[in-house]
Amino acid sequence: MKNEKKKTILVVEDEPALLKVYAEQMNAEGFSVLQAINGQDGFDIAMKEKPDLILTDILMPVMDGLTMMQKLRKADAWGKNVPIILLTNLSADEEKIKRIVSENLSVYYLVKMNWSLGAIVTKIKEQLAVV
Amino acid sequence: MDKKTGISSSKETIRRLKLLAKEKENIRGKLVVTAKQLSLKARELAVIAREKESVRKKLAIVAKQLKSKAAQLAVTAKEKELIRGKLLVTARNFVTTAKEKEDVRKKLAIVATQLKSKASQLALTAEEKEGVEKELLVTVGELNFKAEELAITIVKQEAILASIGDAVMACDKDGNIILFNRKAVDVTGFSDKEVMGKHYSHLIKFVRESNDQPSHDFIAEAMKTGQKTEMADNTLLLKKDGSRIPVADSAEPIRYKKGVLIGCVIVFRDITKEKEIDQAKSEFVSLTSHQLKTPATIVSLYAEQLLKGYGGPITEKQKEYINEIREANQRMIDIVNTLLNISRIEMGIFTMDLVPIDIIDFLKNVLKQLQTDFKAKQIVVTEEYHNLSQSIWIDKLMLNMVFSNLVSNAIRYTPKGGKISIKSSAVNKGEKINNKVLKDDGILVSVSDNGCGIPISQQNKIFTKFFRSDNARNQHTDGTGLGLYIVKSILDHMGGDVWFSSKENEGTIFYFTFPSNKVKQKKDIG
Repeated sequence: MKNEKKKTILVVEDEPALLKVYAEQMNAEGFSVLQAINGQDGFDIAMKEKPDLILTDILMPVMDGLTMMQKLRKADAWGKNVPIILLTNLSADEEKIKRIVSENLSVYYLVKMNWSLGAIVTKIKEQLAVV
Repeated sequence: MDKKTGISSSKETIRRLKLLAKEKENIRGKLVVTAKQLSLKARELAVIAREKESVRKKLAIVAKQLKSKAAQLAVTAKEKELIRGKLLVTARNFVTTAKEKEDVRKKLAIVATQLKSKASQLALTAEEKEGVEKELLVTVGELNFKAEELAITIVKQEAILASIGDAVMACDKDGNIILFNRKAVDVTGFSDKEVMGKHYSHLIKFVRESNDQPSHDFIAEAMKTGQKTEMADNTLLLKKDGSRIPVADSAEPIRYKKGVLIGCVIVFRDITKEKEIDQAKSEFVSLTSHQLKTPATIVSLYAEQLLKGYGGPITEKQKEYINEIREANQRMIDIVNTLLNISRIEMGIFTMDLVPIDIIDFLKNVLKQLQTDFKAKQIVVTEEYHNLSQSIWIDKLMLNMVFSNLVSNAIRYTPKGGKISIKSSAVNKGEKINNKVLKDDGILVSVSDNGCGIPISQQNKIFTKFFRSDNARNQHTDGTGLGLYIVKSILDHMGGDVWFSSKENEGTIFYFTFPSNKVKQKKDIG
């Protein structure tokens, strides 16, 4: 990993404690981490920095994760293909999430009741290895 | 004989002869006298004879006279006899009359006695009559009072029925409407004149919210089974103007004395508002759960980081404590997830994710996941499955929740070393399983245990949200009272059903069904 260019991950999460633990974990795994606190913020940073992967929460103020994703998909070629991992906790929006996920091949969603940080890291590595 | 004797006798005979001659002279003298006398006598006799003749003549006359008299007398005697006879008859008559008189007298005496008795009876009767009259008077008074009360009751009932918040409709045993209150008019849009006497099914129609198809005829079921029935959730009433409103409903058979079914009362109400409130409540629960989940997630993730040593090396004791925190936190997450599931079901946003599965493999897998719990309580599990002919389209997550909830409950409420038995079978519409008439073809699964059972008084509440029976609460404080509610909600949503039979301290059998073919068709169409 030392000589390789670090892969960049954008973490979008409105909850500071979660943002912090995700960021720390990704750093510890050797990724370069960008942080955003809502969908709008995330969209702006993503368009500017073009990260290798985006990890995003769904329910957030200002702009939610799904809207951000849909905007990115329409924005440009990079945005259309960048892998996005949605973190969900089986909220009321599950049906909507399922529908959107089925329309976006490079999107994966994790149900929070099943995941741990370890599971997220595994998923990220899987995605980046393929790309 | 000597000679002396002979001489003497001759002398004697001369003397005697002399004597005799003398006597003869005497007698001749006497005879002359007598003759003289006789002649005298004869003359006398002639006189007498003449006298006698005269007398005889006189006597003859007298005799004639006597004869005539006798004849007269005879006539008189006859008359007398006649009279006597008459007299006799009269006398007899007199006797008879006397006897009759006596009889009559006796009879009269009897009649008199009877009359006397009657009289006293009459006196009594009169008294009784008076008593009865008095009583009647009281009764009439009471009846008047009762009639008034009844009239008041009827008016009250009418007023209650009219002003009651629920629509009330009653049918006779043939299903013809015999009562339709004001609210029923409001809710359905039909006037009572339009519905009275008509069969309910012609006008009052219910459809399923999900597919707009006619819902299960719970009224017919109530009339058929004689049991109270409830309308399925998410049923809409088709109003006269064609619009649809959500309603909740129950049908209760009316019985006369014992067992004779004479009709059915249907109570239903517009639950539009309730649904709105429910929706708001569910949204609130959903939002709150989400908010609760974030902190729980943070706790979980940081605990994980600590355990991994990202916060520096930790001692065994610290590890033990962190694990306690994690487990408690996990319980909280589970509860929140349950609440979320409920609110999703209640909000109707629970769409099924149908995949074809081998249902028996599936059931076995769920049991395998619970193996640790069975072992911990040394429970003997028996399994009996039917021959599966084809795979079934079903939402695995939903079915898992149903089955694992029921088995977990069985484990929880069965004592150590108890028995749990799992059975599956294919069932047909109309089949009767433990007093339940199946509404559709499908799969039936039963979970039976020999645990504490459900008290009869609380059996009607067990599918209610947050309800826990007293004995369950006493034995296990950690239940949420949501498991069976979720089971029922999911099965309602799936078009299945759940019911049970239970005896306190003996055990419980839960049955649940879910449709096999319907789901497949739905998937085939989609």
